[in-house]
Amino acid sequence: MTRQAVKRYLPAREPRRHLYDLVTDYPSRGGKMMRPSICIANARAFGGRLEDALNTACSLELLHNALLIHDDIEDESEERRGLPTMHVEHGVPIAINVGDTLTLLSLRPLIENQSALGGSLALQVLEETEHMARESAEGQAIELGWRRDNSTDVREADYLEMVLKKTCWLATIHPCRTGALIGTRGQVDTDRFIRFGFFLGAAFQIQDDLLNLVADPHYGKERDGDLWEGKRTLMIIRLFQESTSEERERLARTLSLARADKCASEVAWIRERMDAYGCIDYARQVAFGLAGAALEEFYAVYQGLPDSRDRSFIEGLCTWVFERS
Amino acid sequence: MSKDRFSRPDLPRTAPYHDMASLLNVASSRRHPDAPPGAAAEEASRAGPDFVTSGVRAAYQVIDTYMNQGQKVARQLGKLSYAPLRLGRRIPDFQARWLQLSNDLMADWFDLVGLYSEAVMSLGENGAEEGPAAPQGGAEQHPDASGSTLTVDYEVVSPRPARLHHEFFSHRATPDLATHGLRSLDPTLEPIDVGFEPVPGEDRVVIKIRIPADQPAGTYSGALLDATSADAVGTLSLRLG
Repeated sequence: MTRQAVKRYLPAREPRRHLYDLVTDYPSRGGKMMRPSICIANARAFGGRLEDALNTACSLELLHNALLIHDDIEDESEERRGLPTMHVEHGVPIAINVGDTLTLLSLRPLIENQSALGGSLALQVLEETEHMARESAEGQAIELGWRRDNSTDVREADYLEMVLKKTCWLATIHPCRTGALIGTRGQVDTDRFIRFGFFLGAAFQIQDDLLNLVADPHYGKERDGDLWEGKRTLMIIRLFQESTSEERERLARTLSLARADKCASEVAWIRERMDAYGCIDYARQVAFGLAGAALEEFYAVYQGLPDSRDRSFIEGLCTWVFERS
Repeated sequence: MSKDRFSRPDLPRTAPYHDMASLLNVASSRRHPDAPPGAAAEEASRAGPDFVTSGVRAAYQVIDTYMNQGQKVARQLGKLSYAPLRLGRRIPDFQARWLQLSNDLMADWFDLVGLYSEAVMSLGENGAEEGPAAPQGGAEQHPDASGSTLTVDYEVVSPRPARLHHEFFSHRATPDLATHGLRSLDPTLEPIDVGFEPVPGEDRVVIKIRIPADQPAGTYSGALLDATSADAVGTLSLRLG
């Protein structure tokens, strides 16, 4: 239903070749729709109707796809959902414009919220969206800065703060907050969702980083892509901590190179060292721990709600993040 | 039908099951191929809980710091975000609405005060006379169309208390006045005659009223007319006790 609703906001008109046909590209590649699902589930769990949350869910999905296009450019990623990234296929200028357009298109459902939810609640959702977008931009800036400066002293806590901003706000915190706002007609303290969303989103992100390092044709991204891109993941941070000084120098030197200047043997060496120092296991254990904390926070936030399919869905997210491919 | 009740067997666990690795039945080791057999599992079992503890502790510190920063910023901005109240953003909403309402009310209030001031000034200038002491008078000034002012005096003779009130339409005051008399709504009552005596060389007029001794109590009123054009320029009313 959300997929159909999203299509309603994707114009089928000229200019098609360099804009509107491309605007539909990423959304039609079949993402998980995790963000809109969390939004709708929260709205319903708190007593609202699916229809009331649909606009906000669509906006979330459109904005998510817009940011994916820009992220792929910034990260120099080559694959997205099993296909070449937008900028690889159509060039950076066109990809940026398509991303910009998707961002603008994500505003329309929020405007339509005014008639669906009333002015006050629609404004609250809009404020939430503005807050989330700011947090996401700050998180992205932190990560890009690490790569730009080739930072080698990033700590676990730094990584988690970056993930809180870059990933968790858009992926989990914001969908929970807006969904609950809609479900309660604005009568909920949205800050109560920050902890749950953070632990869930952080577990999700670490698992995403782990999937990047294993061969899985269903994953949809380039294997070891994060290593090629020089991303500071929990595994890389652990490797910096555990390796010898010579290894740290070699690791920093390799990560500092532009993607085109890296060679496959060096990337393979990093991957091998990760295994040697148990970095994968370490990250997986931390992810499990965070998911457990998310479950605890879930009970703290949702325990007062009656049992429902939507409440169970939200609870199930804590284990689902590890079951997805 | 059997009277035995069906009962569910006791669950093997007695508390929520939060060990995610066990819950998912995930193999916990992915070790270097050269590592001795069993070393990975041994390492995981030895170091795993520490990883989890330190990771989750770091995460709680991050989120606590973040929330504290949010509270600090919210306090600086005077907003109620991160507040323990469960009213969410409705309070700022109400604040904004009340502020707007107050602004609107204040604007109306000032308009009303302006109107009221004009009325009070008009009342003070016209004066309000009560008999029986006569003749009495008040005086007031009215700006006319040319910008000059008109002073109105009264001479009232009445056997009983009487209150007079006159009012000129805006910029219509003139000393050259006339009237058809002050009449009651009761058509059987005789009208009260009114005389006007402009003061030569001055913007001043004296309104003279002599009330008959047998005039019934009541309210009498009439239009003040421009004696030349017969246009209505104001009203004059008298309440007789």
